[in-house]
Amino acid sequence: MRNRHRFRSGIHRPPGLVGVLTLADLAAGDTAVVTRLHGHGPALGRLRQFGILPGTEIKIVRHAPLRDPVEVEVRGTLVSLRVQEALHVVVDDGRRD
Amino acid sequence: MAVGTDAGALTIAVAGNPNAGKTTVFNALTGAHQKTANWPGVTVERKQGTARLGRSTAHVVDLPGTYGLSPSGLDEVIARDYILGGDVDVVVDVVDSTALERSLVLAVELRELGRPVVVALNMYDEVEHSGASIDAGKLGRLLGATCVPTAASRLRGIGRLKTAAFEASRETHPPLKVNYGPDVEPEIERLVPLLRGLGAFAEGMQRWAAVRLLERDVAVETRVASTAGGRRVLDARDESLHRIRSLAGEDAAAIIAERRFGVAAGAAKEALTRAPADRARLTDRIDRVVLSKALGYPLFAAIMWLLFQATFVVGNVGGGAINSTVGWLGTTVSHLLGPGLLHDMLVDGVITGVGGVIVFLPNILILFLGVSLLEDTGYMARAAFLMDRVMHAVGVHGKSFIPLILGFGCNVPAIMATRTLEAPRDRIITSLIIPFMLCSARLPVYVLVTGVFFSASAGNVIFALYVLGVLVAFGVGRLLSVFVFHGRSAPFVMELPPYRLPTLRGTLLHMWDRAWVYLRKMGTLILAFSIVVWFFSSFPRSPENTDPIAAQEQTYLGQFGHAIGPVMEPLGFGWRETVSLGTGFVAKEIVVSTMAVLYSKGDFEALPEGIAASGLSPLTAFAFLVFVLLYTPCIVTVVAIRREAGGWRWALLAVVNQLAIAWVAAFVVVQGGRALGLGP
Repeated sequence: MRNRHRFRSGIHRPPGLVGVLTLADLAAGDTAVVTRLHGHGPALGRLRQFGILPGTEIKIVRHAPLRDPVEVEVRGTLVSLRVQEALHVVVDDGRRD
Repeated sequence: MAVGTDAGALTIAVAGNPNAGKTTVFNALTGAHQKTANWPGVTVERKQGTARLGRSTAHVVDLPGTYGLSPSGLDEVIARDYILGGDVDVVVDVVDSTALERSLVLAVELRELGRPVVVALNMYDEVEHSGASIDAGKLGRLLGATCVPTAASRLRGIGRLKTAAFEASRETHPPLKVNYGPDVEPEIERLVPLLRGLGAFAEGMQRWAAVRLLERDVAVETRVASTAGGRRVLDARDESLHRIRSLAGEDAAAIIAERRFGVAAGAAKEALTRAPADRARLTDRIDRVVLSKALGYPLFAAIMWLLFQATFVVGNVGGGAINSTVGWLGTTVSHLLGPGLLHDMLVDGVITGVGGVIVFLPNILILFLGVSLLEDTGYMARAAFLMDRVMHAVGVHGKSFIPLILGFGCNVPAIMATRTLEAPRDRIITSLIIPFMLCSARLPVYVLVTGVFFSASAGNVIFALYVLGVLVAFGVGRLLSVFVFHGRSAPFVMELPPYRLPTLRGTLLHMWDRAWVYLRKMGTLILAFSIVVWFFSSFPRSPENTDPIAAQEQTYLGQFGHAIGPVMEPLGFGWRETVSLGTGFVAKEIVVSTMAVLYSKGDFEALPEGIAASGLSPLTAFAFLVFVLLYTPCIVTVVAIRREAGGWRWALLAVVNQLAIAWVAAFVVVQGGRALGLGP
């Protein structure tokens, strides 16, 4: 049987994120809780400014027509981020495989 | 004792998140008493004004919009440095009260700095409308800052905000102490005495500095490292970070951010006496259409098309009226003065030159009105969302699309807007490709020349030129990002603000701000240059009965045009076109002014006939327009590129690069067109 989570293809996954569920793998309408932010760098600082932190609930609103970037709702605010950045937000969507 | 004298005046800094209505609050506080300058050393705009309350006066300074005070971008650094600089008596934090939790994080960070803070709970009318309510008194006690509900776009609550700000300046509040939890607090305690010993921070600010060091705040690190003994403090900090990491299994920066959000969320929850109805519903319903796969791009293209049609069709009506007025003014002045040098200078130089530019003011006002509407409604962020995939392929940030759109108005503010981009590479690439965007200063040339040669399809020709500019910009951007820069682009994490109905007052102010820049540029630079062009195109003077064209060829400008004629000949341009292009280096509008001087000798109404008889064919006229689109940006733009990209070499690259591209493109148009038999 196939894994219930379909990992988004066509993006470069850093070795630490292979087989790990991230914001980039979710579909529009999905809700998940952030478990950690992977790596470091300026992008993570921006994510934190919008309150994308461990324990925060986050909802995928939609993808742009060209599938990238992705729009999420976090703490009542709509935020857009690239799929490559969403990949660094490790999430738990409550489903067990 | 006399109060309210200038020396005793307060300084109020206005801070806030982008899209929270910060500028509206600033405008409401200061009314018409404001002026615009730049922050020292950078080109981020700094607005300053005066607020009066009774006999007291306050300087009000508009800080750049920020989500926090961590120096992740230049805006945050400017805001924080200014507040820490010591001149600020009170900070007014403009909060979007419909997104209370997120907005209060900045308030928490400001309170940690220990300055008196007054929170403007802005857009409070929307909160009421959604059926919610906020206990401002309770929120104030939780934050240690007076909270005032406002609706700045309706001028509601402004008086009370002003009173609260003046009162807060007389109070002292110790810095807000956020509890950063069992893993971080001991490390703060460890660093505070070390920092106190260092003496680099004011008394009472050591805790703040310790927290910032644990967040790896580069600005604070630099400050510490440059103080004697600072290296030891940084080593101690590294050990602290290591301990936190092994104890908590998380980065200190993440824990600190979590705790700060916790305080903000707690305060928001306590203060919200009734929960709001889902405010995102209308926005979501609009976005479902505006950002949909099927309609997203068609709507975007339609909005852009509408913007241009309004600019040209509606704008040209007003332009006609101004045109007649300028013609009338020229004739009247002519009659009043009688022949002479002063007459020639005023009529042929000043009135023709400036008149040829002011004619296009209606077009420019409408274009800026449209851009203001796009920004104020919230659509501009959607445009960035739709375009990021494309912009990313070009090698820049989706946010670059916004400066690029602004480039249609004027390249100079557009290049200044690249400050919103964090990575220098994005800023440099965007600055270098903005000049290919057809700015409004080039419109006068386009409207004039297409009117003469393509009257029936002028709109289509101009639209094609807009598209060509965008394509060249994209191509050059891609080349620069691949061959000159190899780094990755900056993060694309951006708020999509809720749609809002812009107020007439706000939009008009916004439009006026922009138009004023255009007018000021015209009033000073172009006036001066019109006189210079008139001089070079009138001297040395020929005897009275010389043929007018021959007389013009004898002038300094005519001589210059002939000298570089061989270079321009393959493009089908004569000396007058060449001279006009040359003067366009100072400002693109001047191409028209020069044409007016060279083709119709002061009779502005006769200019189209003069151009029709110039020897240009529709094909070479089109090549001329292509050349105007792509060649060397005006000198103000070149200076702006130097400042934003950070060096003359980039500015020089822009000049040389664009001259070469323009020449090649015009050559291809003319020679290709001739080969295909499209015209002489």
